[in-house]
Amino acid sequence: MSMQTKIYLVILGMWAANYLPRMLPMVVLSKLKIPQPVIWWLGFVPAAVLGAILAPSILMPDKTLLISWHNNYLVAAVPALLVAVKTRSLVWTLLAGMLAMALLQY
Amino acid sequence: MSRATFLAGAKKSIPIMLGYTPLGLAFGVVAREQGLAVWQAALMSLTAFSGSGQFIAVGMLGAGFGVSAILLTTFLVNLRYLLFSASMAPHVGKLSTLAQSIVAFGITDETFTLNMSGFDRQAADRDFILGVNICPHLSWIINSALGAAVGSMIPDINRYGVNFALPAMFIALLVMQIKDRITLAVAVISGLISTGIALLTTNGSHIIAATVIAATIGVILCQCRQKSTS
Repeated sequence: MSMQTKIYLVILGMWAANYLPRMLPMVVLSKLKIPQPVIWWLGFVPAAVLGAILAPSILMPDKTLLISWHNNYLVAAVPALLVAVKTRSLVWTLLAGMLAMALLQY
Repeated sequence: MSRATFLAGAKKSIPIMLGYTPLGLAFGVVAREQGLAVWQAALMSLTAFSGSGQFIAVGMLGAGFGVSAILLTTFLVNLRYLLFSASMAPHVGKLSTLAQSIVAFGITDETFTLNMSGFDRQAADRDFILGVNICPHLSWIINSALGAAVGSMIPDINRYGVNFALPAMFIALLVMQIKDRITLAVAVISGLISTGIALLTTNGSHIIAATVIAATIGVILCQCRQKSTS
Protein backbone atom coordinates (compact mmCIF):
# COMPACT_ATOMS: atom_id res chain seq x y z
CA MET A 1 0.00 0.00 0.00
CA SER A 2 1.45 3.38 -0.94
CA MET A 3 1.93 6.07 1.69
CA GLN A 4 -0.62 8.28 -0.05
CA THR A 5 -3.30 5.55 0.00
CA LYS A 6 -2.55 4.99 3.68
CA ILE A 7 -2.90 8.69 4.50
CA TYR A 8 -6.31 8.84 2.80
CA LEU A 9 -7.53 5.65 4.48
CA VAL A 10 -6.47 7.02 7.88
CA ILE A 11 -8.18 10.36 7.23
CA LEU A 12 -11.39 8.57 6.19
CA GLY A 13 -11.16 6.11 9.09
CA MET A 14 -10.49 8.91 11.56
CA TRP A 15 -13.81 10.43 10.56
CA ALA A 16 -15.66 7.22 11.51
CA ALA A 17 -13.54 6.47 14.60
CA ASN A 18 -14.13 9.95 15.96
CA TYR A 19 -17.68 10.68 14.84
CA LEU A 20 -19.57 7.50 15.76
CA PRO A 21 -18.63 7.54 19.49
CA ARG A 22 -19.65 11.20 19.60
CA MET A 23 -23.00 10.71 17.89
CA LEU A 24 -24.50 7.32 18.87
CA PRO A 25 -24.78 7.73 22.68
CA MET A 26 -26.38 11.17 22.35
CA VAL A 27 -28.92 10.15 19.75
CA VAL A 28 -29.89 6.91 21.54
CA LEU A 29 -29.75 7.92 25.22
CA SER A 30 -31.58 11.24 24.77
CA LYS A 31 -34.70 9.26 23.88
CA LEU A 32 -34.72 7.43 27.22
CA LYS A 33 -35.51 8.50 30.79
CA ILE A 34 -32.22 8.29 32.65
CA PRO A 35 -32.14 7.33 36.38
CA GLN A 36 -30.58 9.78 38.88
CA PRO A 37 -27.41 7.78 39.75
CA VAL A 38 -26.62 7.52 36.03
CA ILE A 39 -27.03 11.30 35.67
CA TRP A 40 -24.66 11.80 38.63
CA TRP A 41 -22.21 9.37 37.07
CA LEU A 42 -22.30 11.15 33.72
CA GLY A 43 -21.89 14.49 35.50
CA PHE A 44 -18.61 13.30 37.03
CA VAL A 45 -17.21 12.19 33.67
CA PRO A 46 -15.70 15.53 32.61
CA ALA A 47 -13.75 16.05 35.86
CA ALA A 48 -12.71 12.38 35.90
CA VAL A 49 -11.57 12.28 32.30
CA LEU A 50 -9.66 15.56 32.56
CA GLY A 51 -7.92 14.35 35.74
CA ALA A 52 -7.13 11.05 34.03
CA ILE A 53 -5.54 12.78 31.01
CA LEU A 54 -3.78 15.51 32.94
CA ALA A 55 -2.09 13.62 35.80
CA PRO A 56 0.01 11.22 33.69
CA SER A 57 0.88 13.98 31.20
CA ILE A 58 2.53 16.09 33.92
CA LEU A 59 3.69 13.39 36.38
CA MET A 60 5.25 11.10 33.75
CA PRO A 61 6.05 13.15 30.63
CA ASP A 62 8.65 10.61 29.48
CA LYS A 63 6.52 7.58 30.41
CA THR A 64 8.28 7.13 33.77
CA LEU A 65 7.16 8.73 37.03
CA LEU A 66 9.19 11.90 37.74
CA ILE A 67 8.18 13.88 40.83
CA SER A 68 11.04 16.37 40.97
CA TRP A 69 12.10 19.95 40.26
CA HIS A 70 13.69 18.57 37.10
CA ASN A 71 10.26 17.71 35.68
CA ASN A 72 9.44 20.83 33.64
CA TYR A 73 5.84 19.71 33.09
CA LEU A 74 5.20 19.39 36.81
CA VAL A 75 6.85 22.74 37.60
CA ALA A 76 5.03 24.60 34.78
CA ALA A 77 1.73 23.15 36.03
CA VAL A 78 2.05 25.14 39.27
CA PRO A 79 1.73 28.66 37.79
CA ALA A 80 -0.85 27.37 35.28
CA LEU A 81 -2.95 25.93 38.13
CA LEU A 82 -2.69 29.12 40.22
CA VAL A 83 -3.73 31.29 37.25
CA ALA A 84 -6.57 28.88 36.40
CA VAL A 85 -7.96 29.00 39.96
CA LYS A 86 -7.58 32.78 40.14
CA THR A 87 -8.91 33.74 36.66
CA ARG A 88 -10.93 30.66 35.54
CA SER A 89 -9.74 31.69 32.06
CA LEU A 90 -8.51 29.32 29.33
CA VAL A 91 -6.41 31.97 27.63
CA TRP A 92 -4.58 33.25 30.71
CA THR A 93 -3.92 29.71 31.91
CA LEU A 94 -2.57 28.77 28.49
CA LEU A 95 -0.31 31.83 28.40
CA ALA A 96 0.96 31.31 31.97
CA GLY A 97 1.69 27.63 31.33
CA MET A 98 3.43 28.15 27.98
CA LEU A 99 5.46 31.09 29.33
CA ALA A 100 6.57 29.02 32.34
CA MET A 101 7.53 26.14 30.05
CA ALA A 102 9.41 28.42 27.65
CA LEU A 103 11.39 29.91 30.58
CA LEU A 104 12.13 26.48 32.06
CA GLN A 105 13.49 25.29 28.70
CA TYR A 106 15.42 28.50 28.03
CA MET B 1 -31.77 29.32 12.84
CA SER B 2 -31.25 32.15 15.30
CA ARG B 3 -28.26 34.24 14.35
CA ALA B 4 -28.08 36.02 17.72
CA THR B 5 -28.01 32.73 19.64
CA PHE B 6 -25.39 31.29 17.30
CA LEU B 7 -23.23 34.40 17.78
CA ALA B 8 -23.66 34.22 21.56
CA GLY B 9 -22.27 30.68 21.43
CA ALA B 10 -19.51 31.76 19.08
CA LYS B 11 -18.52 34.55 21.48
CA LYS B 12 -18.35 32.09 24.38
CA SER B 13 -16.02 29.91 22.31
CA ILE B 14 -13.39 32.61 21.65
CA PRO B 15 -11.05 31.35 24.42
CA ILE B 16 -11.23 27.86 22.89
CA MET B 17 -10.48 29.28 19.42
CA LEU B 18 -7.43 31.02 20.89
CA GLY B 19 -6.48 27.87 22.76
CA TYR B 20 -6.65 25.82 19.55
CA THR B 21 -4.32 28.24 17.76
CA PRO B 22 -1.01 26.94 19.21
CA LEU B 23 -2.37 23.38 19.26
CA GLY B 24 -3.49 23.53 15.62
CA LEU B 25 -0.19 25.08 14.57
CA ALA B 26 1.68 22.37 16.48
CA PHE B 27 -0.42 19.64 14.83
CA GLY B 28 0.28 21.13 11.40
CA VAL B 29 4.01 21.14 12.09
CA VAL B 30 3.99 17.51 13.26
CA ALA B 31 1.76 16.34 10.39
CA ARG B 32 4.08 17.95 7.83
CA GLU B 33 7.09 16.32 9.50
CA GLN B 34 5.39 12.92 9.20
CA GLY B 35 4.75 13.31 5.47
CA LEU B 36 1.27 14.84 5.16
CA ALA B 37 0.62 17.61 2.64
CA VAL B 38 -0.77 20.92 3.89
CA TRP B 39 -4.28 20.19 2.71
CA GLN B 40 -4.15 16.61 4.04
CA ALA B 41 -3.39 18.02 7.50
CA ALA B 42 -6.33 20.41 7.11
CA LEU B 43 -8.61 17.61 5.84
CA MET B 44 -7.80 15.41 8.84
CA SER B 45 -8.59 18.34 11.14
CA LEU B 46 -11.93 18.69 9.36
CA THR B 47 -12.95 15.02 9.54
CA ALA B 48 -11.45 13.96 12.90
CA PHE B 49 -11.43 17.21 14.98
CA SER B 50 -9.50 15.50 17.76
CA GLY B 51 -6.18 16.87 19.01
CA SER B 52 -4.96 13.81 20.90
CA GLY B 53 -6.29 11.42 18.22
CA GLN B 54 -4.66 13.32 15.36
CA PHE B 55 -1.27 13.70 17.06
CA ILE B 56 -1.24 9.96 17.69
CA ALA B 57 -2.45 9.14 14.16
CA VAL B 58 0.20 11.16 12.33
CA GLY B 59 2.88 9.97 14.76
CA MET B 60 1.96 6.35 14.03
CA LEU B 61 1.75 7.03 10.27
CA GLY B 62 5.28 8.39 10.38
CA ALA B 63 6.45 5.40 12.41
CA GLY B 64 5.07 3.01 9.78
CA PHE B 65 2.13 1.44 11.66
CA GLY B 66 -0.72 -0.14 9.69
CA VAL B 67 -4.03 1.62 9.08
CA SER B 68 -6.07 -0.66 11.38
CA ALA B 69 -3.62 -0.26 14.30
CA ILE B 70 -3.71 3.51 13.89
CA LEU B 71 -7.50 3.65 13.82
CA LEU B 72 -7.92 1.29 16.77
CA THR B 73 -5.52 3.31 18.93
CA THR B 74 -7.28 6.56 18.01
CA PHE B 75 -10.62 5.01 18.81
CA LEU B 76 -9.39 3.79 22.23
CA VAL B 77 -7.88 7.14 23.15
CA ASN B 78 -11.11 8.83 22.08
CA LEU B 79 -13.45 6.42 23.86
CA ARG B 80 -14.07 9.31 26.20
CA TYR B 81 -16.25 10.81 23.44
CA LEU B 82 -18.75 8.04 24.21
CA LEU B 83 -18.92 9.37 27.75
CA PHE B 84 -19.13 13.01 26.64
CA SER B 85 -21.91 12.22 24.19
CA ALA B 86 -23.81 10.23 26.82
CA SER B 87 -23.36 13.06 29.35
CA MET B 88 -24.92 15.54 26.93
CA ALA B 89 -27.81 13.20 26.11
CA PRO B 90 -30.09 14.17 29.05
CA HIS B 91 -29.82 17.85 28.02
CA VAL B 92 -30.53 17.59 24.28
CA GLY B 93 -33.78 15.60 24.38
CA LYS B 94 -35.69 18.50 22.81
CA LEU B 95 -33.41 18.63 19.75
CA SER B 96 -34.34 16.66 16.62
CA THR B 97 -32.31 13.54 15.84
CA LEU B 98 -30.76 15.36 12.86
CA ALA B 99 -29.79 18.33 15.04
CA GLN B 100 -28.31 15.94 17.62
CA SER B 101 -26.23 14.16 14.98
CA ILE B 102 -24.91 17.51 13.77
CA VAL B 103 -24.02 19.02 17.16
CA ALA B 104 -22.41 15.68 18.14
CA PHE B 105 -19.83 16.15 15.38
CA GLY B 106 -18.31 19.11 17.21
CA ILE B 107 -17.80 17.47 20.62
CA THR B 108 -14.25 17.88 21.93
CA ASP B 109 -12.85 18.01 25.47
CA GLU B 110 -13.16 21.78 25.39
CA THR B 111 -16.47 22.39 23.58
CA PHE B 112 -18.05 19.65 25.70
CA THR B 113 -16.94 21.30 28.94
CA LEU B 114 -18.14 24.71 27.78
CA ASN B 115 -21.51 23.40 26.60
CA MET B 116 -22.07 21.41 29.80
CA SER B 117 -21.28 24.42 31.99
CA GLY B 118 -24.03 26.30 30.12
CA PHE B 119 -26.64 23.55 30.66
CA ASP B 120 -26.63 24.31 34.41
CA ARG B 121 -28.20 27.70 33.77
CA GLN B 122 -30.33 27.28 30.65
CA ALA B 123 -31.80 24.56 28.43
CA ALA B 124 -29.66 23.23 25.59
CA ASP B 125 -30.12 25.29 22.42
CA ARG B 126 -29.15 23.96 18.99
CA ASP B 127 -27.86 27.24 17.61
CA PHE B 128 -25.89 28.08 20.75
CA ILE B 129 -24.17 24.67 20.71
CA LEU B 130 -23.41 25.10 17.00
CA GLY B 131 -21.81 28.49 17.74
CA VAL B 132 -19.72 26.96 20.50
CA ASN B 133 -18.65 24.03 18.28
CA ILE B 134 -18.12 25.48 14.81
CA CYS B 135 -15.80 28.43 15.55
CA PRO B 136 -13.17 26.34 17.41
CA HIS B 137 -13.43 23.75 14.61
CA LEU B 138 -12.66 26.43 11.99
CA SER B 139 -9.77 27.69 14.12
CA TRP B 140 -8.48 24.11 14.41
CA ILE B 141 -8.61 23.54 10.61
CA ILE B 142 -7.09 26.89 9.64
CA ASN B 143 -4.27 26.67 12.17
CA SER B 144 -3.49 23.07 11.19
CA ALA B 145 -3.05 24.24 7.61
CA LEU B 146 -1.00 27.27 8.70
CA GLY B 147 1.19 25.11 10.92
CA ALA B 148 1.82 22.66 8.10
CA ALA B 149 2.56 25.50 5.67
CA VAL B 150 4.90 27.64 7.76
CA GLY B 151 5.84 25.37 10.67
CA SER B 152 8.62 23.67 8.81
CA MET B 153 10.34 27.07 8.64
CA ILE B 154 10.41 27.53 12.46
CA PRO B 155 13.18 25.44 14.01
CA ASP B 156 12.43 23.75 17.38
CA ILE B 157 8.93 25.15 17.95
CA ASN B 158 8.73 23.57 21.45
CA ARG B 159 11.28 26.12 22.67
CA TYR B 160 8.35 28.54 22.86
CA GLY B 161 6.42 26.38 25.33
CA VAL B 162 4.10 24.87 22.68
CA ASN B 163 4.65 21.45 24.29
CA PHE B 164 2.79 22.69 27.38
CA ALA B 165 -0.23 24.05 25.47
CA LEU B 166 -2.22 20.81 25.82
CA PRO B 167 -1.59 20.26 29.59
CA ALA B 168 -2.31 23.96 30.31
CA MET B 169 -5.60 23.72 28.47
CA PHE B 170 -6.56 20.61 30.47
CA ILE B 171 -5.66 22.37 33.75
CA ALA B 172 -7.98 25.29 32.93
CA LEU B 173 -10.82 22.99 31.86
CA LEU B 174 -10.46 20.86 34.98
CA VAL B 175 -10.53 23.88 37.30
CA MET B 176 -13.71 25.07 35.55
CA GLN B 177 -15.30 21.68 36.33
CA ILE B 178 -14.63 21.69 40.08
CA LYS B 179 -17.95 22.79 41.58
CA ASP B 180 -17.85 20.96 44.93
CA ARG B 181 -15.66 18.75 47.08
CA ILE B 182 -16.95 15.49 45.61
CA THR B 183 -16.03 16.63 42.07
CA LEU B 184 -12.57 17.61 43.33
CA ALA B 185 -12.18 14.19 44.96
CA VAL B 186 -13.28 12.46 41.74
CA ALA B 187 -10.71 14.40 39.68
CA VAL B 188 -7.85 13.66 42.10
CA ILE B 189 -8.76 9.96 42.44
CA SER B 190 -9.06 9.67 38.65
CA GLY B 191 -5.64 11.29 38.16
CA LEU B 192 -3.99 8.93 40.64
CA ILE B 193 -5.62 5.80 39.20
CA SER B 194 -4.82 6.91 35.65
CA THR B 195 -1.15 7.50 36.52
CA GLY B 196 -0.97 4.14 38.28
CA ILE B 197 -2.42 2.28 35.29
CA ALA B 198 -0.29 4.27 32.81
CA LEU B 199 2.83 3.13 34.68
CA LEU B 200 1.80 -0.51 34.24
CA THR B 201 0.37 -0.46 30.69
CA THR B 202 1.18 1.21 27.38
CA ASN B 203 -2.00 0.73 25.37
CA GLY B 204 -3.77 3.95 26.31
CA SER B 205 -6.44 2.19 28.39
CA HIS B 206 -5.62 4.21 31.53
CA ILE B 207 -7.85 7.18 30.63
CA ILE B 208 -11.07 5.25 30.14
CA ALA B 209 -10.43 2.86 33.07
CA ALA B 210 -9.65 5.66 35.54
CA THR B 211 -12.67 7.67 34.35
CA VAL B 212 -15.10 4.79 34.87
CA ILE B 213 -13.72 3.93 38.34
CA ALA B 214 -13.52 7.54 39.59
CA ALA B 215 -17.00 8.52 38.32
CA THR B 216 -18.43 5.42 40.06
CA ILE B 217 -16.72 6.43 43.31
CA GLY B 218 -18.31 9.87 42.86
CA VAL B 219 -21.80 8.33 42.63
CA ILE B 220 -21.14 6.30 45.79
CA LEU B 221 -20.04 9.49 47.59
CA CYS B 222 -23.25 11.25 46.39
CA GLN B 223 -25.39 8.43 47.74
CA CYS B 224 -23.57 8.49 51.10
CA ARG B 225 -24.11 12.24 51.37
CA GLN B 226 -27.80 11.86 50.52
CA LYS B 227 -28.24 9.18 53.21
CA SER B 228 -26.45 11.26 55.86
CA THR B 229 -28.61 14.32 55.18
CA SER B 230 -31.99 12.51 54.91
